[in-house]
Amino acid sequence: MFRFRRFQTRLLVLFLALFTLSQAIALGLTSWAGRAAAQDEIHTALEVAAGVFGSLLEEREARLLQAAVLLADDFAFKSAYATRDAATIESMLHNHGTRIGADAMYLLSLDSEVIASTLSGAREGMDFMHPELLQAATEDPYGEAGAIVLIGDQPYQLVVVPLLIPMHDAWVVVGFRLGAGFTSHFRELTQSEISILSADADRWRVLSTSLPEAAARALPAVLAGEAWRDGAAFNLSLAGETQVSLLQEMGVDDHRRLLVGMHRSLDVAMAPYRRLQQVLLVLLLGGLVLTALGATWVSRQVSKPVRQLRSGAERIEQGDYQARVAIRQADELGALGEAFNRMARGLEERDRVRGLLGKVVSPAIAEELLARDIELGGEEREATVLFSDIVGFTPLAETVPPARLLDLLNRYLTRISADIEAEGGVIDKYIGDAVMALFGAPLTQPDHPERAVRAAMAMVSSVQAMNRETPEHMATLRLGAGINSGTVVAGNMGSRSRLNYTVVGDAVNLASRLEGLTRHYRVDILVSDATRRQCPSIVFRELDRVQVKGRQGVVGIHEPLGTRGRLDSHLHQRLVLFGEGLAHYRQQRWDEAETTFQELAGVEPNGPASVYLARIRAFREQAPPADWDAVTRIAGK
Amino acid sequence: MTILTVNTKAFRPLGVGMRQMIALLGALLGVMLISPGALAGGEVRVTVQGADGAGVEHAAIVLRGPEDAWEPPSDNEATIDQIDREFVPPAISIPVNTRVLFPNQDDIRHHVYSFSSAKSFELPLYKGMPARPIRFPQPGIVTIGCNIHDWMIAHIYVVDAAIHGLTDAEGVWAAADVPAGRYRVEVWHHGLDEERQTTGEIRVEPGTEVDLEVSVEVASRPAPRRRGTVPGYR
Repeated sequence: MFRFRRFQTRLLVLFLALFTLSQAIALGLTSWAGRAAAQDEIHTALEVAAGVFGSLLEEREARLLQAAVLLADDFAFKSAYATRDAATIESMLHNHGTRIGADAMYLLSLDSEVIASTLSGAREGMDFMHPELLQAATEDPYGEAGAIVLIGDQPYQLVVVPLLIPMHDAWVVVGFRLGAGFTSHFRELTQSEISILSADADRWRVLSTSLPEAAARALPAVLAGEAWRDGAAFNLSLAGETQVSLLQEMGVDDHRRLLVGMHRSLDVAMAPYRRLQQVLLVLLLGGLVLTALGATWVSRQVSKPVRQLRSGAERIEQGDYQARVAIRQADELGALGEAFNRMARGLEERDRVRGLLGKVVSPAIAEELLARDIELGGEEREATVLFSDIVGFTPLAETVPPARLLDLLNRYLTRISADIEAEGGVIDKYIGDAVMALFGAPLTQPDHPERAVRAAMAMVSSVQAMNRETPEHMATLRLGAGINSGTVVAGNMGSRSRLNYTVVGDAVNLASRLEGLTRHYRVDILVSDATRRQCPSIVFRELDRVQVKGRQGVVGIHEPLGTRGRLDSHLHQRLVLFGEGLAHYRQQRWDEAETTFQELAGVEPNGPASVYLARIRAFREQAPPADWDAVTRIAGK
Repeated sequence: MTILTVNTKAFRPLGVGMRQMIALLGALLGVMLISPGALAGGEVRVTVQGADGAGVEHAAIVLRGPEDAWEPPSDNEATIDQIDREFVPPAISIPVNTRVLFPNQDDIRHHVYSFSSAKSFELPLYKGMPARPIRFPQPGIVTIGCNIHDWMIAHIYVVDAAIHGLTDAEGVWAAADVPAGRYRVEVWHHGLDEERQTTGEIRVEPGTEVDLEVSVEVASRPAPRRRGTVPGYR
């Protein structure tokens, strides 16, 4: 099925179709009702005409009877009759018939034999051709009767009266032809056409008619094929015109039925309705144009805002949250437009928040925050926490203007943040020049300890690289990082209106402590036992065993040196030497330990070896207690 | 008492003239011979009834006797007056050759005429006594009318027999002292199909009474209109 892609076209077609349908129905109904009304009018008029015809004949008969009675009572008439001389009587009939304008006169014996007549077809002694007329007269108290009969091929109205001399002795019959004069008179009276017809079986003859000639000629053939009922109107198609007709039997005469037909043209009666239809047609066309215009306007009212909404939606789809629609309508579409704008505003807002969130918090946290309902509370999980600090930054503040300092800090932070994110770490927060980063939360990462250590090593490299790139501060900045792995509580913390995704717990505190210890041990990175255990691919050297303040347990601290299998000889030497030195130290073999650490200090001048050399010097002066366990107690931070 | 029954027959077949169809429907002739009484003759009584059983008034009963050579009287006279625009009496039976006078008693003129075949005459508008009486030389029923009063009709039964008379309102005619002998009984009436009908024969014996009932069918014929509401018009 053909489908209109455009709403406007569809609406237009629908409106036009509905309008045309309704108008067509109206037109059809009008036509039907008009035809029915015209038919009804005609039927009524024909019934009236039939009534007029009946009373016209009755009146005529009464008038003819009076005339006939006067004629028959004329004494001269009676005297002439009494002569019994046929020629005289016939002559007298002619004379008297002329007085009343009769078309036929008969004088009949009581035995209904013709005594004399004015018609050549009825000679003396012949039987009268219409005995039923005399029969009717016999049954009348005054011996009077009338009938319509056929004489030859002509319809006549005959009346019969008795000839009283003074007793009834003969019949006087007077006849008047129902010819053109009668039909035209009838037509003037009733405005209906009239036909007087005879039918012999199915052979019809038009005896007299007021119909036009062509219609009159067509009438017999049409009637022969027509089923009709006496007194019921039916349609006849005569010479291209529909004539509603009504037939009435007037009698049977010599096997021929005599009928009168009345006709009225349906086309003439329909004329006013045709004019009405033409007016309706003009109105229909005008209505179609108006409907088309109206439908177009209405569909524009709908489709224009819809198009606007669509392009707006497309722009939003492409990320342009500033898209707005301008639909100035007070209807549902206007409301939809407003809703759309509110939605776009909402989306824009959210996008801005999301962008901001991504800047303020790590993208991963932002995602985590956006993906879930933000609510207070957290979960326990395994994670690695990294604290870093730029050592030597604070003294810089005294010599560098604040704007430059901030710029420098930002460059450093940007660089090391990139290192953290490169390993999948999440920046939890910046605290001045310090950074707290998480690995394994909120995103689960099975290798979070190694990632943290690698990130820390990268950060150290980055700071060293930046030191080289900024000669004016010449290697004054150093990164210290503490890393610990363990169980933390991760989640949103803060107040209901303002909260942070972060982690808390003992493991976090230890990481922070380790960061602080880097300065003491003069290393860049310190890692707890827990972290080291989970970093099989990284080589560490154990630096010490410490007990930090506020903690009962002893923690081994380690420095990552590099990736396993890729250590150079220099690093390897440091690893071995430190290990030997530390073993001597723990066995209180101060001399061997000192020798070893001094050797290491030659290789690694400002490193952890110097810490141990200082301790050894101190233990020589004051030996450690007997229960010395080689654990360093860290008092402050 | 002897009862003689004579059946009559229809005189013409039903035919073309249905208008004129008149048949004697099984006319019943009942003759009652009553035991001898008077010396010279017997009494004859004829009752004429129509098809509805009612008596037919002004029917003429004619007894045609054995004496074939009946001489009509030469000096017989009769009168039909015109009183109040009516003929009075409306019917008479007279022997042939009777002269009838038509005196006009009204103060208007009348025009008395007849076109009957038995006697056609005309007495143009006149008042009082007409100049001469009219002689009726032929037997038959003569119907007379007035040319200016259509309803004025009288019937004159011109009879060629010695014994005749008219039935009364009950349709009865009676004659006493009818000489004994055989008679043909005829009923004449203008409304009969055959105006003069022989209904049968009777035998009259001295001192007896013959009672005869005749059924006839009188045609109801078209009648002239009457203006009955005008005073003086009947």
